[in-house]
Amino acid sequence: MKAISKDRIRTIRKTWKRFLSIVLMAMLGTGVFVGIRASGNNMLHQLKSYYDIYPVFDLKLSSTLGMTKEDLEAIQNLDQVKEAYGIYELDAYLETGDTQHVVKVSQVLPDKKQFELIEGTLPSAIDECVIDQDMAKDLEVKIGDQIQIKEDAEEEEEEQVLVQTNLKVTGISQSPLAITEEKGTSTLGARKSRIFYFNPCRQYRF
Amino acid sequence: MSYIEFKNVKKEYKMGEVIIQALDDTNFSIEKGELTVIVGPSGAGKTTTLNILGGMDRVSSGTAKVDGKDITKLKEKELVKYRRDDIGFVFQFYNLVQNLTAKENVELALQICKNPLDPDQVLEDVGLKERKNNFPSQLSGGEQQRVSIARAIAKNPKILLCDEPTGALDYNTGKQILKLLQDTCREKKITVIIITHNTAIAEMADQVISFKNGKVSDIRKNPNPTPVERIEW
Repeated sequence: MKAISKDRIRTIRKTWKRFLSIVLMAMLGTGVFVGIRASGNNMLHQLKSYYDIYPVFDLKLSSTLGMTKEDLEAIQNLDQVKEAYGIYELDAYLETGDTQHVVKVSQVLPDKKQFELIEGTLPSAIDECVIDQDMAKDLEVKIGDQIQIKEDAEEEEEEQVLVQTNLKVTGISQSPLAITEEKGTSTLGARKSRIFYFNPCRQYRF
Repeated sequence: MSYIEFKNVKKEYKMGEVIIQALDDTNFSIEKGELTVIVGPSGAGKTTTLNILGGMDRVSSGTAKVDGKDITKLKEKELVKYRRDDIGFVFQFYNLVQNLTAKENVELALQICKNPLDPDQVLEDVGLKERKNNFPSQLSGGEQQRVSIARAIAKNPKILLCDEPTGALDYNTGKQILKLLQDTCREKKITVIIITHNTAIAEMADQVISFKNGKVSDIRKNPNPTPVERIEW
């Protein structure tokens, strides 16, 4: 055997504890590195397939003055637009105990995959709603519970758009639009709306 | 032409902004089979000269010829080959591999060079026949230095370079080592160059080169070298 290999083997045998530690450290390091590399790709892949199942709109148009049916038709008639649909949306308050949260109230279109229903059923009556799972967790709301929402207090009675403000939770949802902690901005004060909220279209009085 | 020839060799080290001149216009020559002793105070450039000769350092300017070959012109790979095949080096602190026995240490050097000698024979020549299976930690300083010399000689080098070979040894052991080096030079016709602080042992050499401040201050030929046994210091 070559003298140099003899030296190596004897060095390892003499300091096997150190050798073992270095081997373990190297294995741990490699494992962590591979994990980081792989999980990045995994997460991207996961997200991509999630967005494939629940197609999110590419563009959201909104106006403080409101959009009309003609606006919608005009957009639908554009060559570049494959599909366009309109929903009603509104920022409102939700009170639990002594804290007030800002919620986004959106119309549910059952034939569009706006969100994934992970528990319960879609709302079928005017006083029923589906809430986001983060909201359910934060406010400890369960299926069957009643929630009370309130529109902006400064507005006059006749300007209120919601017919029912006492709602029964029938389902918990998960939405590709609300996968991060941040749920987007709201028009009520400077506060960010924390919670996503879905309810049936019949809610609105227009 | 001489066997080894140093012509106008300069060596500068850059330490940040400061340039340190280790060798300043060094000239000397050494004949084949001669025993040369290099003396001089610390920092005079002795070790730098030896490192250049051993292919472990590069010159800044000038030429250094060994056996008609200019080693300053060698490429990195050729320099490795030069170090492996032509040079034997003995260090002050032996530089033996602690995990290998005396014989394996010698074999280690032999496995990388062209036409080595038999390791058992060489170890017998340096008087370590009985100790060749001992590890360096089981050997005395003098014995370790002899292993280191055996390792250098067994490579069958053209030049044997020794940097303070007796620096870490006591009087008697040092004498034995110097005798071994002198005998090696005489019997195997290897050119030996020894660096030392001890001017007394210059008597044993065919030629004494004195260094001072990076320059050769004196070259003295010694027509009748004294055998090491008769030198006292």
